Amino acid sequence: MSSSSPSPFRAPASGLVALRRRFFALFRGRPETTAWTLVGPGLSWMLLFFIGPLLLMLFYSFKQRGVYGVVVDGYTIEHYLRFADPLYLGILWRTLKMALSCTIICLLLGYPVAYVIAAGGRFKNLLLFLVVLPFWTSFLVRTFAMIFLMRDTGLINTTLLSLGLIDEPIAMLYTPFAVMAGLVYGFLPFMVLPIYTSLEKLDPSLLEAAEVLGARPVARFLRVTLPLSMPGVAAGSLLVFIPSLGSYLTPDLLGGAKQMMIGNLVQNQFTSARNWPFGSAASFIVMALVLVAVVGFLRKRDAGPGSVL
Amino acid sequence: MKRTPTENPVTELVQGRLSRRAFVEQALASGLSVGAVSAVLSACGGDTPKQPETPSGPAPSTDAAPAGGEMEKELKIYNWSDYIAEDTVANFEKETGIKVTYDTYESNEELIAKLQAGASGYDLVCPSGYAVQVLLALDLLDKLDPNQLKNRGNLAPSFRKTAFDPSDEHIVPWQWGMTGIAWRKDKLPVPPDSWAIFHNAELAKKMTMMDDMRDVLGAWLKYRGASVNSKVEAELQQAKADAIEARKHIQSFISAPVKAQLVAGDVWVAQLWNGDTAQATAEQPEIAWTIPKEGAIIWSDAMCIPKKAKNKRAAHAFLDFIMRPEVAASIADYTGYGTPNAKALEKMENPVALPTDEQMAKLEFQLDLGEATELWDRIWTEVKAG
Repeated sequence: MSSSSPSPFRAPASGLVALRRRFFALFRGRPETTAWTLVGPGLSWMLLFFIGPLLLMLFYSFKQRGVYGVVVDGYTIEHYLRFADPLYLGILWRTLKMALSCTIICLLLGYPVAYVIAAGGRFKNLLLFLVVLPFWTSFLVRTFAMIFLMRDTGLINTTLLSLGLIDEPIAMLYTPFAVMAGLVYGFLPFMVLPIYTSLEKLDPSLLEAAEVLGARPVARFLRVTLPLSMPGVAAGSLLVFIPSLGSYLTPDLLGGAKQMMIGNLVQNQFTSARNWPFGSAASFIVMALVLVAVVGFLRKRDAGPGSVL
Repeated sequence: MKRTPTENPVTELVQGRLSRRAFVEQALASGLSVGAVSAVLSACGGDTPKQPETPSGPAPSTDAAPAGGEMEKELKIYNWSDYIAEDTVANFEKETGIKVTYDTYESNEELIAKLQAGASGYDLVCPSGYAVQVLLALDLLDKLDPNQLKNRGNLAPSFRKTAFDPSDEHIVPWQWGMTGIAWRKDKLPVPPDSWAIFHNAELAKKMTMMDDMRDVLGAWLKYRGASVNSKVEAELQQAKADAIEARKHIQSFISAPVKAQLVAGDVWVAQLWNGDTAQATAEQPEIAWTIPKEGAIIWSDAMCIPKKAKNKRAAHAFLDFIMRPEVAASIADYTGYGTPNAKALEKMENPVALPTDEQMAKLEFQLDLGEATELWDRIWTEVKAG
């Protein structure tokens, strides 16, 4: 503690300094205390706002439905059994197909983009900037912009009509194509960025070695670049697949709400149907399926040679 | 908004626009007996004024509150977005000195969920008819004090004792509207006089229905002569079949945003509310609106006071304020919907006329479905799953 000044005005400061020293003394020689202090805020946040609501929903999914919403006394597993109905399984199946297609399209479109960006060149920063640019506006606004692009009297159709390339407008909006276009547009950056990160870390000397050893460009890509970028591909695929599985805005706005997805089903249960337990149960079933798929996927990959997500 | 002329010294005193001294002078001058004046003053709780009098201004004075308590200084209103004239709240604040906090929501479910979760912050909310029933069933609404609602007589009789509040004790109707058919006069040779228009393959992809289970199934129930609130399985199965048939021909299920497409001409026939259609007609005069011959849904949103409200006297003051003809007229002029205030209609330039008896016979209020909600939801999911 500072003893240089007897002035009473320094006393509070000295007290604070002392407090600070005592606080840091707690960590001396105790790495676990330091670790907990660093992790603590984030962990509490997750416990409070992620795990907490999740547990609440799990609890709700076993309760009886209240006629006017929320839940009433009594426990049941009927909401989980109800999901076995072909009606709901059909919606789930369609949603899975949609999310999988979206992931594959994003991968096919996103990998070359990530490759070009990672290869460097003059436009690297500009291209990266362009990938991130859409995040500057809200997803809702961008989806509405797609409506203006794709509708019968929208930009695409009026341009093609005025160029004489088509005689009547192509019906794009409110088709499965529009939903897929919206999903791919929305989630493409989530595929590009992780793949770019993996590709950028790739040691060029490995490619040189492959070349020296006689591998042609295609073989170099397939046997060196692609396997080493798999962590990025895996991360990107998960980042695209999971949110597209839960999307409900895009099918509503671009698909004309004619094709119900699992996200729309859950949303309806919490609003117009006032069946919170069934909505919770449906969410948990989807979550469990995703979890099983992801864990299985990662295990299989971890069993493979030298891959870390 | 037009400035309110001095109507009645008692009202003015209650609303805090008139000081006690000025009230006494005016009342005595207008021939009230001294006894009556003192009775009114004591009824106004003013025997021991908490604030010094301000004889010259409309300053808020706590002693100007009606019988039974003091007027609070703040008021929290929770209403649908874009559903009030731009100057309504400001004029109320200026007149009463009550500070208003005004929040908005987008769906009845959002409102119900908040009140169910125990939110106590709101003094006035504006649910639709069927949501009023839910809130009443959950015992979340307080009774209104008729003595504090002097302007209630301005309301049209068809909006009193409605099916969702038969006792007329809990609500002040705010705006009303109908869900019918909007159409482009320049694209269709004849008006669509029936819900059957949505089964017309020739208009494929040029039509939309609303993205709302109650409105879509309700329309098909009406089409077959059933109630929009039907709980009969066979009727609902028929409505489902009709809705699935319509789904083949319509371009999409879409609600309010269809306005832009009607204006652009992408959509020629749309199931839509009359007020939103009026907003679209302002941009494109070829857009018209009609009630199909089989009938349609009429709805009314209503102001209510939640049980947990903290500023109930201020809430009553606001309700009485919005029932003044000129205030109700300015609100309806802004929203494009109908006002339930019969006196306000006379003051409007472009009013939505009250439904005639003939129309009223074809229109039906939406009521809460209770236990049948689950059946409705399943049928709606089947329609949407295709």
